[in-house]
Amino acid sequence: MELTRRNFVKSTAVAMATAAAAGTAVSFAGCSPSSGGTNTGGGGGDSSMVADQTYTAVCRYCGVGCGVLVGVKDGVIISVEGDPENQSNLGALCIKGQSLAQLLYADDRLTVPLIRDDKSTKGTDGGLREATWEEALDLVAEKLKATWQTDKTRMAFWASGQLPITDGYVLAKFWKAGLLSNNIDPNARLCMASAVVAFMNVFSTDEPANCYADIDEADVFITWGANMYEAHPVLYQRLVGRKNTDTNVKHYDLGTIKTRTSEGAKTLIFNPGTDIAIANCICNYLVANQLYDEAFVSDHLKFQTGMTDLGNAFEDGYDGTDVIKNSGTTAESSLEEFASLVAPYTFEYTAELSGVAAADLEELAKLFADKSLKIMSFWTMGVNQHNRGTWMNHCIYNAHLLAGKYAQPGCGAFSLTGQPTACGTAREVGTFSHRLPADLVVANEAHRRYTEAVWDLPEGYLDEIQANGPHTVKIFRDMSSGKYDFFWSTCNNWAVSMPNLTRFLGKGDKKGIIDTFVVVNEVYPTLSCQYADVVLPAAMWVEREGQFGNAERRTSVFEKAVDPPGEAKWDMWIILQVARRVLDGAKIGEEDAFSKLFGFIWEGDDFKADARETCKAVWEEYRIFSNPSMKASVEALNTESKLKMEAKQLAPYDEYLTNHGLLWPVREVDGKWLGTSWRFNAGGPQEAGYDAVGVETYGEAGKAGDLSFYKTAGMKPAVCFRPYEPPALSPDDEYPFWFVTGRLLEQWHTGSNTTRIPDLNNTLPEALLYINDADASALGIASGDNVRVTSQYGTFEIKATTDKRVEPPAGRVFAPFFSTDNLINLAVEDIYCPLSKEPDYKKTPVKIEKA
Amino acid sequence: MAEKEGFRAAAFAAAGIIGLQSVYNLIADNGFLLRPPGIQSEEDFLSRCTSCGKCIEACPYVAIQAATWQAGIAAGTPVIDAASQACQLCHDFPCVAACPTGALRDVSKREDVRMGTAVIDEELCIAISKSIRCEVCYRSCPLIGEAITCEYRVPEAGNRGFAIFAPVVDAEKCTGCGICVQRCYVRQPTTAIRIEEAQRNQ
Amino acid sequence: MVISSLIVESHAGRTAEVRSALAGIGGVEVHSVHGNSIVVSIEAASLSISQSISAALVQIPGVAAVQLVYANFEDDPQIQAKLKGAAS
Repeated sequence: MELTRRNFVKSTAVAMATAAAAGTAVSFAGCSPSSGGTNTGGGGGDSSMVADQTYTAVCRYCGVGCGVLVGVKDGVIISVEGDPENQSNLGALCIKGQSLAQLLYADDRLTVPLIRDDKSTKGTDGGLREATWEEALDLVAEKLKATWQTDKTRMAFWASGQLPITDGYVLAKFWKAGLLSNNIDPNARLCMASAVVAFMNVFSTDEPANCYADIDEADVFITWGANMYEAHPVLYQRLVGRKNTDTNVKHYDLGTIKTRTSEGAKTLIFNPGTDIAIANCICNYLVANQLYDEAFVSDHLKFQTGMTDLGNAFEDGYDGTDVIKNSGTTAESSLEEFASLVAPYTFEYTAELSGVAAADLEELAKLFADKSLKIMSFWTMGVNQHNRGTWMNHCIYNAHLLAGKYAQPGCGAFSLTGQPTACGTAREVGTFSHRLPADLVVANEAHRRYTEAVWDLPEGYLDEIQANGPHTVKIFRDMSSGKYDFFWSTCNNWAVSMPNLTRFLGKGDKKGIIDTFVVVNEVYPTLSCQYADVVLPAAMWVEREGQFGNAERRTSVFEKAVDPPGEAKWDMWIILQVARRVLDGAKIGEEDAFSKLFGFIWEGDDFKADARETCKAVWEEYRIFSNPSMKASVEALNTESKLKMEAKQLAPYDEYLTNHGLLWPVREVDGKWLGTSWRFNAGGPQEAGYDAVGVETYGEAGKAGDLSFYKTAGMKPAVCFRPYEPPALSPDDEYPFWFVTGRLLEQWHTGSNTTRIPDLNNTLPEALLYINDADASALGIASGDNVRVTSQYGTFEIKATTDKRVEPPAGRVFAPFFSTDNLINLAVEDIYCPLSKEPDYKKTPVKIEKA
Repeated sequence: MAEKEGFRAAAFAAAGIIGLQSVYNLIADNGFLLRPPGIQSEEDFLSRCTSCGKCIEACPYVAIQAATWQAGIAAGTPVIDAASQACQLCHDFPCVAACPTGALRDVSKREDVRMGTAVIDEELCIAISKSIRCEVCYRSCPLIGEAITCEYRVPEAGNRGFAIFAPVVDAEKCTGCGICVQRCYVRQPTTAIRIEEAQRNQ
Repeated sequence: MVISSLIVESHAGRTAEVRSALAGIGGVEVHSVHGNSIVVSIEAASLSISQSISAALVQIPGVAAVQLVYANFEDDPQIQAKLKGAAS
């Protein structure tokens, strides 16, 4: 008898005898279930305790940016609830937000700096020893300074759409003005870059014109490859709320796989990559039948063509080719030429290509032709993480612009953001290799002059950084090839989230990561820490004051509610401690460089003032970019170069605290600061959320829809024809499946936070590969079996399921990327959109075998 | 099957620790015991089960345990504490295959299983009572969209215009496996969803 | 192994004495005491050894009665041999 069964049989025997002896043989013991355990889950803390103090904050997770109220007692967070006064969520939350009270308190919080003395221990969970801040900061600064002074192409900072705004601003100033380097790029390159480049191409200004309130008025919702049910939970709650209040409201879900978002929507499943054709098909219907909005086209649009046949970034040398160098070039075109270019995208042709029925395509197209219908399109990673992601963004705008459906209440194309502050920080502050703050770019001379004026730099000082720096995938490819000596990251987990991890983590023959001096600011020991030479413990979320800017342009402050544990410090402190060491002795003009850049908030070894005052001081300087009237030299340039910098106007810091967040551009009207719900729309007063001040200052009244795209070149957004070009790789005999990666509601991104919250982790502890029933059975795989997934890039193991939370059609499989155990990105291709440089996480060909 | 063996070895080690606490959760207030799949009725089960322990041994997830003396006459018989480890509805039902007396029988597919019926406590459920985006039970249900559906309810006036995403159990389809209980985000004072006696007509 | 559980009933006032004696017998494990009733298990290599152990329990001074509650004997070597023989 096996030992285990013997134990069971014996315990049974004993149980029965005990029952008999205890005299309970004929009746149940009548034990009532005890509550058991001391976990404080299911509501974020013990509700019997009353908070000493409540602070306003913003959820740490997705781009919806739900406001929350944080209850603290005796220096510990005891509760988190939705903030009903934050207009982005009006108090609603998902369970990730609900569980925030436990976010800071997992056992393995990093509280002391760590240093790795032996590089050969990289990739293991050992090898890091404790150190003092002094030793760690001196070491980091020494390495950074050495690289900076020797060859500054060999250093990089990987920033984040989760790094608070003031920290991002300080970082950008340090890197761009202090180190004169564009070798800084954020993880937002992996998420929003395609959207950003399209915004700039089409509108000359980043970020959506619409806002969340438009959900409450729309007649039609179209989700383009966006699993909003899982990835933007509270926003989807609002969308469904709208669907429920009016039976005429329609929802079309366009995707390559069926998800929970498809439930209750008309679902159109298309062949990967053919979304461009579907959008062009809609445009063709509009122009071929003259059903576009003639007044809108005539008043507001210009037409362009762009470079085509761009190929794909299989090789490292792709960025050096003429193809990619010219990829952004456009030529003037016309409506007539556009019509002839979209003409091939008939319903029949598009149906054949995409796999969507012609009748369904026609139904979709007719919606755009119906002038009375308010259509809201939503998209995120399905469109952005795409080898032609920038083009696909363009195509959605083409359809909406031709139909005159943009920037109106209840009607518009809304690019959703994945991270809490990709907008607020990475994009608005400019921690990209080609950007400066407030939509300015390094390549533009007037923009550099303007930035110099704000930062009090000598004229011409920034000319040294006029060439764009390297984008994310390029940094990692070059680093793996030994071209980087210094790499520093914060608020991200590249060892789990980058594609092609097999290469970038040195599992193949390119082991550059081992030799590069890597610094990671972190809160919990992630896989990225295993590759770090120095780990710096950071203060997390409300352990410091910070600000986030969410998908609908709402900037909100999160107050400091508790102290960080141990010796953890906020990122701004860490950045400035390194900066003052590296810039020691450096000059800008005649002045000490560090003092010039940061003397307004820092003195000696620390901040001059507390967190609130420091953030305010940083904010007031940052705000000059979009409030040129605050500084004469800046205003002069704004006027001279017609920059219209007030397009993204930000309010004084206190306004964000009082109002629980504000939508920019924020205008001062009669002493009050008022946000803007619909950019470029002068159809009503500023008090009602219209862009009345902006249009009055810079735009033209009386145009179609009461719109004026005053920030756009020529005041005319561009309709640029983009053709269908196929995915970089497609399934073949060797790799017969499309592998789609993505997110699910319970676990955020790489899971470094959410896996550490017991009640939340318990809701989805394991990452699964979702596979179609027929495919599973053809492969001899039973639901629950472990399988091996292999692409030409790499391989990983995962448990397969035919459960239908996600329902891929035959030939496609899906997995979420939150699990370090499975590390699905080992197999994902790193091929990127030529314009945005954002990699395609949605279309890697793979083979699947029972493990 | 090396993967499953490893899982079981680790689970056995843990079983001793969780066993003591979960003993109390095994017995509902009304005396309901959650049995393995293949049970036809409690009466039928008790008349056949000899407490041989073979189903316990067969379960790759160590979900089945021997009821302790608190279960009185049912002491030693196999029970499941769904909150700590639910039945995962293995497609090949190793527990049923192992049962020598037919106490567990007549299941060839998941839809045949009737271990019990999930019941939602609408006050404890944060999706229903607080309009929080949860519905983990719905998403974790192996028969998603059938045994548990997500019903979008129009909120009462004043609820911000956000729909309530209410999980709803279809007693006709629910197998009573308990995965929803295991995954429920609410843990205090109990999970918001629990398995009770099977409601379906056979 | 052949595994069985029994209740050993002791005379009043002699429970502790009986319990000590039980603890000293090979193959016997004492689990709990409820008044005069002592719950024990016996693990033995075969049915006959198990039966001889339980027969010995009655002989312990202070024992009033011994009741068998549960026995699992399918692994008894003789029974196993009979089953194999029947199968071939």
